[in-house]
Amino acid sequence: MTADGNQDLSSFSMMDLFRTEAEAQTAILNEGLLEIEKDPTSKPWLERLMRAAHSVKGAARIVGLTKVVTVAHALEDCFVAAQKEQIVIGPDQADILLKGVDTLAQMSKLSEKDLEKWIGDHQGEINDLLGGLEAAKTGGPAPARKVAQPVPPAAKPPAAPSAAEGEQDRGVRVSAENLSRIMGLAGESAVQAHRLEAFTSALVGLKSRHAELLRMMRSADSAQERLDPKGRSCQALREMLQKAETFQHLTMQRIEEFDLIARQLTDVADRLYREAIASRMRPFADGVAGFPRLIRDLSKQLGKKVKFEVLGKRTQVDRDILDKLETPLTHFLQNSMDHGIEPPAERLAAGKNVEASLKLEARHRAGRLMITVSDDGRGIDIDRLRKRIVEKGLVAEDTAARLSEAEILDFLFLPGFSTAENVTEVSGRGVGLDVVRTFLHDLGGSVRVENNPGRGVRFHLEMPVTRSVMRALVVEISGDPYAFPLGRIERLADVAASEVKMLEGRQYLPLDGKNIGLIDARQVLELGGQSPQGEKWPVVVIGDEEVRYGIKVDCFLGERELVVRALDLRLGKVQDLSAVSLMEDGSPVLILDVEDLQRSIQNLLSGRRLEKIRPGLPGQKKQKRILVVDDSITVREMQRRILQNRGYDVDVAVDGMDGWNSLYSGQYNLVISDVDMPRMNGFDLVRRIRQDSRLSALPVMIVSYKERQEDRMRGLEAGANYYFTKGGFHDEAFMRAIVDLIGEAQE
Amino acid sequence: MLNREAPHNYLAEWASLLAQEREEVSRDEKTVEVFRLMSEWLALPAHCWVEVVAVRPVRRIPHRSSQILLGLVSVRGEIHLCVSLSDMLGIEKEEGPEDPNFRRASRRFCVVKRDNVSWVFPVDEVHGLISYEEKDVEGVPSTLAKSFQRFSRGLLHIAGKKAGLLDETRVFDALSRSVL
Repeated sequence: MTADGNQDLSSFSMMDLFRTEAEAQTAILNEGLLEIEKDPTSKPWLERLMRAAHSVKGAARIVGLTKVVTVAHALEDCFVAAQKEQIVIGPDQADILLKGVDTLAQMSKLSEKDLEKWIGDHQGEINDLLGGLEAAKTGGPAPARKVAQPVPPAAKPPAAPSAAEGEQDRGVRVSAENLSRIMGLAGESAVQAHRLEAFTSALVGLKSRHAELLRMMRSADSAQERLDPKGRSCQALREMLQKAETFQHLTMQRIEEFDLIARQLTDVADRLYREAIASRMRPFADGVAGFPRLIRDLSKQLGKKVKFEVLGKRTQVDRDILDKLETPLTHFLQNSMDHGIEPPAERLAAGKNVEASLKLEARHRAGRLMITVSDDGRGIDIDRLRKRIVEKGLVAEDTAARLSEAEILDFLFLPGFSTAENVTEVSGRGVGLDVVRTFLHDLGGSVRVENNPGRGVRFHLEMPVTRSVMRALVVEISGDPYAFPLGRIERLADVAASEVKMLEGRQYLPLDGKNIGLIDARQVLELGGQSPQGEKWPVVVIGDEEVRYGIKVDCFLGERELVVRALDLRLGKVQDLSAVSLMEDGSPVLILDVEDLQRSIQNLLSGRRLEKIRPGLPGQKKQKRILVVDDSITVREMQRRILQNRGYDVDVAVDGMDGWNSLYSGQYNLVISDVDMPRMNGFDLVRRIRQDSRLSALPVMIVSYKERQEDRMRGLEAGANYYFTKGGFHDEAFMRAIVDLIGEAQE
Repeated sequence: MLNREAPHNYLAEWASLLAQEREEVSRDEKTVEVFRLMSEWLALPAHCWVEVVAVRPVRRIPHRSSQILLGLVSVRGEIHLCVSLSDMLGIEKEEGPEDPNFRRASRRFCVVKRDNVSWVFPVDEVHGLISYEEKDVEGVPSTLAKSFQRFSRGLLHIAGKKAGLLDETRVFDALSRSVL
């Protein structure tokens, strides 16, 4: 799906349509074959399999992919034979059929040009496959040896919805931009409809003033009657009164009608809005369609018997999150299959069921998405893990002995920590647990492990159901509303001005037995002015166990549910902001990036930003400015000192993201960046710089421990002007490289 | 009656009439939207015009908002960047009391779009659509402000007023640069 707007099916090419169809049909083929393995005579499944193969064949014929037609046709023949009960699809036949499905999936992903080359490269395998299918069709065993290496499994399991669960929603393709525009309009119509309520009450106000007029007329009438009961003016007044009463009655009726219309309109608009948001949601099943196949293949490969279950398939998950869940879940499943679940013999010896159980479950709890991956394998051996931590030199032996089980398990999530004695092919491919944790953290979630030695492991993943709706605290800062994501707030406080202490010219606040730094939001966001200095200060506390900061805002506006939108791309990354949303009156509200804020405050307190705005002395020559980006404080400070001694003006940033923010707010002559950093690594930073029209010419030097030629190449490919290895870190060589790049500090 | 012969000059009359009309159509006519910033009347081609909406709150963007980039506004649920065209063109605020002929109530926000990139800017008044011919465009007098000169490609006479005809390419390019 492309990101540009106005996409509908008519603008997809025939090839795109074929790919879409092939993706959906191969998903059915995969699923059906796994079902057939359980029940080889299932008529309905054989029927569906046959039809799926037939559809792929037909579609491939239309776009003229003859090889795809041949393979699909061979598959179809097998299913037809099974339907006629000429053959029974046993495990061996299923293997070859699944290989056929893989080949189909692989081929239909390629462009026409690449396909030709691919077919040429894989001619032998395709022929073996066709031979195998031919043998399978006549009920013969698949010629095991002749079948070459399996075709690499499809990179991404097909995400098409399976119709196997009976009545299920059919997915359609909508461009992301279209969808967000629909959400915008639905939101706006809800906002506008709500304004009618205010209008109704204004009408009611008008009516009561009308009544007031009527009362005045009545008293005028009775006064007139006393004076001249039979006079003409009295008569006229009475007629006026009658008319006015009729009008009032009519007005009443109209207001009631209007109120009804307004309420219906509001109701419809609200429903439309909720539906628009719900259209971002997909059932969990869509994201896990490829897993049964993965588990089947792994259990064959590892010789383990496993019963794999997916629970909560209908649980609604935001499509963005669903797409991103695949990698971490694959990791957990591979891990369980490889390390958790024992071989059958070991299970028997332990008195367990030979068939192990592996479960993947998704459900909603308290507005959060909870996903658990659990197995009944051997669990994690805490003592072995403890030994490994000591071996790796992470903790001294005596300290390790004192660590609790929970603390020991925490080490699993450290970067580069692997418990596997030997990295096997299966789990060696996966991402590290640290990556999973970072991923969940970015989503605003967390991961927890529950260990039962000898009885299994359970990983709990918790995250928001959607990234498009967020609960947030809205505050006012300098006249504008800003939102803090609720999950990122440590606590709120209404602080009495008298409680605030001063220490070295900075404000501190005693809270929960600790002194936390207090800072004015206007100062962090560079909005100018000062917040109102009342007796009570509204303070938002952010941070973690180690460092906390109090941010003083003008006032709390309350908790809101916000529909999150991306910031305008033209702005790039804006420091301290993560996204934007709309208030109930339809005006924009900015959503703060709390991680950024923490860094901004750190920088502010360490005086970095103050340095930035200090004006240069008159007559002084302009110094060249260098930005040093490194997550190690030692390296950062050493480089800063070396460079400052040489006369350069130096700023520092603690990771790629921080560096990127700095680049946008200041002018630099050179960037010196480390490679491995949290949030954004050095290569990504360089790439971003090169892609940015304003910064693309900025010289960048990468400093890294990695001395290998390929690392060097990666750095230079990303767009660095110079790759410097820390291993050979000599002040002189370092300085020479810098002078070569940008010249002396002052020229 | 229908068979009656046409008057002898009938065909010639119509021929010349039609010929004349074609000549009129072939003239180079363009449409612009005319609006006012402070005391300056300006014109921008109508095809980059999306809509004119009521004044609404503008949210400042921390670290980014400047004299030119005012912030974010929402129009029909879509969020746009709001810029000050008057500051970009270098139109200066007049000293002294505001001209009583110009009312605050006439202030509007304009949404413009070109190459799928849209902008919103406040104006003090919208006059409406005006058609003009290329030959009616006067040269830019050198008395105009330098920065302003860069963005206009001529002057138009509209209902007794002179309006600066803005060059859309230069205006949009400068707007794009202003947010960096």
